Amino acid sequence: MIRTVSLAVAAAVVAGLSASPAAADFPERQITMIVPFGAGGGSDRVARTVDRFWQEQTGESFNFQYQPGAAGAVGTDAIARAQSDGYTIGIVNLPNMVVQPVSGSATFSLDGFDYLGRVNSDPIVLMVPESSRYETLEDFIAAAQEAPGTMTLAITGTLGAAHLAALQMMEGAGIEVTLVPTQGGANTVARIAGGHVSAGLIGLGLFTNQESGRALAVTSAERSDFAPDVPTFTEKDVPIDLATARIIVAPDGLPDDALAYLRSTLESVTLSEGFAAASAEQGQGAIWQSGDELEAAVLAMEEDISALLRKYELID
Amino acid sequence: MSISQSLAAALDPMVLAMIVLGTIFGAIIGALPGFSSVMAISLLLPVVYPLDPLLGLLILGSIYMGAMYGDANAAILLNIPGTASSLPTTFDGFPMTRQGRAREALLAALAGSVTGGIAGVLVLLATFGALAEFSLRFGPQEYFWLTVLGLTTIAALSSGNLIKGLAGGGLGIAISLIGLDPYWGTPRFTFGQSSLIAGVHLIPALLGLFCVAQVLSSLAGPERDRNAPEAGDQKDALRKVVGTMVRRWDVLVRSSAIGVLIGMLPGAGGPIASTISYNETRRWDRDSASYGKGRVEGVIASEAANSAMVGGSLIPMMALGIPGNVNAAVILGALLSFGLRPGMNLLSDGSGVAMSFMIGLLISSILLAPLGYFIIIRISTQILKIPRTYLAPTILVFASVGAYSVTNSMYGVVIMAALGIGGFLFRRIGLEAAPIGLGLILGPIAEREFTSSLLIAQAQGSYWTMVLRPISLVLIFLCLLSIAAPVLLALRQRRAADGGASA
Repeated sequence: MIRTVSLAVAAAVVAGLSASPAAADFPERQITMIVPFGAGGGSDRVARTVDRFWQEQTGESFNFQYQPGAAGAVGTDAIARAQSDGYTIGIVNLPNMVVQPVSGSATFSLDGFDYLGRVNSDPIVLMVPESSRYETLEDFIAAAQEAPGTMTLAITGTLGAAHLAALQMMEGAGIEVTLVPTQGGANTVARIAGGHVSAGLIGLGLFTNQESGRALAVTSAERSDFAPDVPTFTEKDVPIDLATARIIVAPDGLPDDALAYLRSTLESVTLSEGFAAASAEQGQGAIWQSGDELEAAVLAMEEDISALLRKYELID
Repeated sequence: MSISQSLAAALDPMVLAMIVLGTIFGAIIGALPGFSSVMAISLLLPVVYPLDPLLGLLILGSIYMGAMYGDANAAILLNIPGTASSLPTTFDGFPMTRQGRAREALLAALAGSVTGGIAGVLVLLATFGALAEFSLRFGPQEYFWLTVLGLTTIAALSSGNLIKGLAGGGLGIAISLIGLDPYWGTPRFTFGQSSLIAGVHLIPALLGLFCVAQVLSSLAGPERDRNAPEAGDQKDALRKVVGTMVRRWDVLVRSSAIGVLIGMLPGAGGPIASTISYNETRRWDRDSASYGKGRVEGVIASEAANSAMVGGSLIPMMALGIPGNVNAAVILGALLSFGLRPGMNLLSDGSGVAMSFMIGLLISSILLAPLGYFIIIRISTQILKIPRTYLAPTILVFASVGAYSVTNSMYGVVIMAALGIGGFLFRRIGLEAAPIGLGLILGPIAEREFTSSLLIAQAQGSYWTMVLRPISLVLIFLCLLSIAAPVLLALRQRRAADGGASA
C-alpha cells in the first residue's frame, strides 16, 4: 500500500506536478542549496544526505546548485552574496572557509554569514594508487626525501583542508613534494587511481566509497572507526590533527523566523538516527554543533590558521 | 539472480510505466532552454528515495536518457542548444529547418539519439569493468589534448574565414576567463566589479549567444525572415532518414564509439563528445565543405554521441565509484543511498538491481523511438507554425527564466542579455556564435588541465611529459589532422579546378 502511494506521488511529480504541503510562513518555496564543489565529491554527498532527511522531516527538498572553483571560494562567495531571505543556503567546509579570507584569496568575510550548524566531520587520508611502490607512510616519506620536489601530490583545491594537511605533512616529515590542485574529490580520486600523480590527499568518506588505491595514513588525532587499519600521521611521528567539517551557512541577516526554522530543522535532521546511519555508511561521523557554538569555533580557527599560514609564509 | 530474472524485474508494468514517464519528462526538460537534466533529476532525487531501488534508479536514468535527446529539438527548430552538448546539433540542424527540412532533421536527431543511447548502454552492459580501468589512463595531459581536439572544430566551422573563426573562439575563451582563477583563486578581468567575481556562467551565456542573439537577428532581418520557415510536409522525411542511416552506418558507429569513450572520462562530458564526433564525421566526408549548410549527417553525429555518452558516463561510476559527469554523480548518490556499492562486483551482488537498471536504461533508449516519433516531434513541430513575432518574446521569457534559475538572481539574466546583445553585434561583423560558444565551453577545461599538466611536467623535470604519452600522441595526431584537413582539401580542390581548366 505504502509502495503504491509513494509510486503515485512519484508519478505525479514525474508528470511535472510538484506538491508542497502547507507550512508556516517559512518556507513558502523551495530552498536552494549551493555546493561550492563539483557534483559527486565529498561535500555533495553530505549535502545530498542532509537533503534526504530534510525531505523526510519537512517534505521539502533543496534545489541543488554547483558552483565549483578556487577550492570552494567561488561558491562560498555566491552564498554570501545571495539574497538574505533564507531561500539560499550552502554547504561549506572547515577549514577551507576560514583559510580563504585569512589568506586573502576570497572576497567574503566570516561575519558575512549566519551559521546554521555543523553536520559532520571527515578526516583526510593519504592515498596511493594500487600499483604504487609505497606500502607505508615511511616508504612514501623516504622516497620524497631522496628526490625533493619530484613527487606529485593531488590535492582538492588550493588552500583547502587537503592543502593544509599537505603543508603539515611536508613540515612534519621534512619533505618537499609538488602539489597538483584538482577541481573536486571525484577528479582527485581519478588522478590518483590512474597513477597520474604519486599520491593524493582525499576525504576518508570518499576513499571508503570507491574501490581503488590504498590509504597510507589518516589526519585525525585517533584512528577512525571507518578505517581502523589505517594508521594516523601522529602515530607515525608526523603530528597532524585535522578534519574537514561540513557546515551549513546562509547569508548574514536572515529574518528571525527563517533562521529559527533552518537551525531547528537542521538540528533535528543531523541528530536523527537515519542521518547518523547514512553518514556512517559514507564513512563520516555525524557530529552536530549548533549555530552559536559553530560561530565561536570559526572565529577561534581564524586566529589559529592565520598564525599557521604566516609561519609557512603563505600570507604576509 | 539470473539475467532472466533481472529482465523480468525490468519488464514489470510499473517499472515500464516509470521508464516511459521519466523518458518523456526528460525529453521535455531537455528541450526547454536553460533547464538541465541535472536540475530535473536532482529535483526528483528526494522523491525516489522511499521507492524501490530499481524504480528509483530507473526514473533518474530515463530522465537523463530523455534529456540527452530532447535538447536536439530546440537546437534544430530554434537554433538554441538546450544544453551545451547539443551545440553541434545546431550547426546543421538549424540550416535544415531554414530549408524546410525540419522534419528530416528532427527524425535524424531521434534516430541518432536512439542508436547512440542503445550503443552506450550495450557497451556499459558488456564491458564496464575493463573500460573503466581504461578511462583511468586519461591523465590531465590527455584531457588537455582532447579539449584542444574539440577546439580544432573551430577551424572546420569557419571554412572561408579562419581568422574570424579563431577570433570568435579566442573571444569565447577570454570571456570564460572572467572571475576567480580556478587554481589560485585570483580575480581576473573583473575590472573592480565585485559582481563579476562569480564569473560568466555557461548556461546564461549560451542562452544569450544563441537564443537572444538569434531573436534579435531575426527581428532585425528583412521582413521575409521574420516569418517562420515553412515546416514543410516532407512526406518522404522518414524514408530519407532511414536511407541515410543505412547508407551512413559508419557515422552511427563512429559517433556512438566517440560518445561512449568520451562519456566515460570523468569531467570531459557531453559537449566534448558531440563536438569531436561532429568534427570527425565532417572530416571523413568527401564533401566536407557542405557541412554547416544542412547536412543531415551532422545532426546524427552530434546526437548519437551525446546519447551514447549516457551509458559511457555510467561506466566509471558503476565500476569504480567515480562519476563521469554531474548526472552520473547524482545517480551515484542514489545508488549509495539504496545501499548499493559501486564496484566490479556490483553485477554479482545477488540483488540483480544493477543488471535490471541497465536493462531498464536499454528499454528507455529503445522506447525513445516511438515516444519521440509520436509525441515529442509532433509537439515540437507545432512551434514552427507560430509566427516569429509571437514566438520571439515567448522564447525570451523562457530563456530569462532559465538564466535566472542558474544563479537564482538577476545576475544570470544580465549575463544573458549582455552576451545576447554582444552576440548580435558580433554576428553583424562576421563573428558567429558557434566558435564563441565552443571557446566558452572548452576554454576553462583546457586551462585547468593545462595547468595540472604543467605542474606535473615541472615536478618530473621535463616538458616532454606533456606530449610523449601514447594516448596523448594519438590525440595530437588527430588535432594536427583536424587543422590540416581544411588546408589539404582546399589545395586538392584548387588542383582539381586547375586540372579542369587545362583540360
